Amino acid sequence: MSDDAPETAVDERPRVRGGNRVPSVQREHLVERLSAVAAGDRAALGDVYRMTAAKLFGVCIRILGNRAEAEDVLQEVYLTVWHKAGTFDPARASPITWLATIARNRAIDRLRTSSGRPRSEPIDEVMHLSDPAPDALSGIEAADENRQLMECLEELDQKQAHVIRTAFLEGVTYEALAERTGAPLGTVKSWVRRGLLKLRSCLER
Amino acid sequence: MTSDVESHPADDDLLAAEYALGVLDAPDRRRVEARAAMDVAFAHDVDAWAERLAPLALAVPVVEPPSRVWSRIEAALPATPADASSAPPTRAVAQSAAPQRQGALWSSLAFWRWLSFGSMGTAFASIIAATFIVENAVEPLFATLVPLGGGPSLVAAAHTGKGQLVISPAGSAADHRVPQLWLIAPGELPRSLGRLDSSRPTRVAIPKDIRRELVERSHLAITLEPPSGAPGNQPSGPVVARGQFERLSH
Repeated sequence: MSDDAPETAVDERPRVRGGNRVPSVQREHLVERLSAVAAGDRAALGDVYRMTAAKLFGVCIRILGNRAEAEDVLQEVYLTVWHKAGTFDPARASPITWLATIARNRAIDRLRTSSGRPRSEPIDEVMHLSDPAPDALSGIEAADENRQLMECLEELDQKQAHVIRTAFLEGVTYEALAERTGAPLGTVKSWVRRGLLKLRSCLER
Repeated sequence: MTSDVESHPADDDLLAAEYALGVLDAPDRRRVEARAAMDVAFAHDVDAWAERLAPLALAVPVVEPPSRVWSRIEAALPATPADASSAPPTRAVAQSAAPQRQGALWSSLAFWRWLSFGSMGTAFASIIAATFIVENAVEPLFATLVPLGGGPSLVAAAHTGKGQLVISPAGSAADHRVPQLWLIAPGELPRSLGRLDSSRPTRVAIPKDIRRELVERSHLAITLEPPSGAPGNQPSGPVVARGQFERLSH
């Protein structure tokens, strides 16, 4: 089956939007530091951690609702970065998206293995336990990309936007979304799927 | 949820979106990841959705983690090799090294990282996963080669007669480089098992003096090398896939 895979399959697909972003200083610095991590530079991992840990910890806490578990996952995230930095391709993803995706996937997997365990603390309390940290990443992503996604979410039906935001930020399954909203599972799936398709076409405009 | 994954084959992009959004349950997540490891187009769909939705993650408030987290990370990193600085090995070292007994260098994580480092920005997606089954005199061995880069094509697995293996890489490098298969026995330099044809299964004969080295601790790796061949018959290009032999029967 593999023999007749087209040789150009890899490059025929359009680049992800983020692949062509205007470089920012922070973004370039992060790319360079990830390259150094790939070369086995421990200090570079420390730099990546300093630049991104507060953001990724926030992402993990938001999903897990539990600081102790979020700490464990954050540790896993940076060990994953240590081992996988060589696979990061700046032509295909922005560095912070690559990092945030690792964090989200680790946190979601942790959430799935502990499903049924209640959140230890209400999310608002968990999120506000520490002083606000300076956001070292604020300059890494172009602000207009952020605005475009938010505008496209605004265009969705309110219910569609709500379940998509909740699913993304808290990493919950369709079943959990159905429980929370009180809507039938099929209805929730339909909201999410229609919302995602609308989102895609809005972002591609 | 299983039925959802299997009953909407036409809407791969939606499945990729559901994965990136995080609404799938654990078994479906594993299925999607396995699929992404074998299907480069699908892997790109997943990446594209992660990129589309990323601004939501970046809008989450930052929370400073306690300092113990970094301490734990540092403690979990592999120790720096005593006989080398933390700098990655250089090519000159590699080429001048005696052909044997450089195991610490060649099996070290730094070595693999160094090789991988050169591949930044290149097409990783050329070689995906290969399964080898090698029948030797003692007992069958197999190795699954795992892609180190993003998008995978796929690879078939095959078994031929004694001392041979067949690898079927799917797709090819985006540039002119040629995949080359290496066997790395513990404590020894990589030995080339030959260049692979990107378009068709390649039968690889394993020299008899290497065959005894096909023990559980041997590694296989595929690198991308210049069309003129690997300089000094040692790997120079990025590692696109690697794996380790294991016994088939347990």
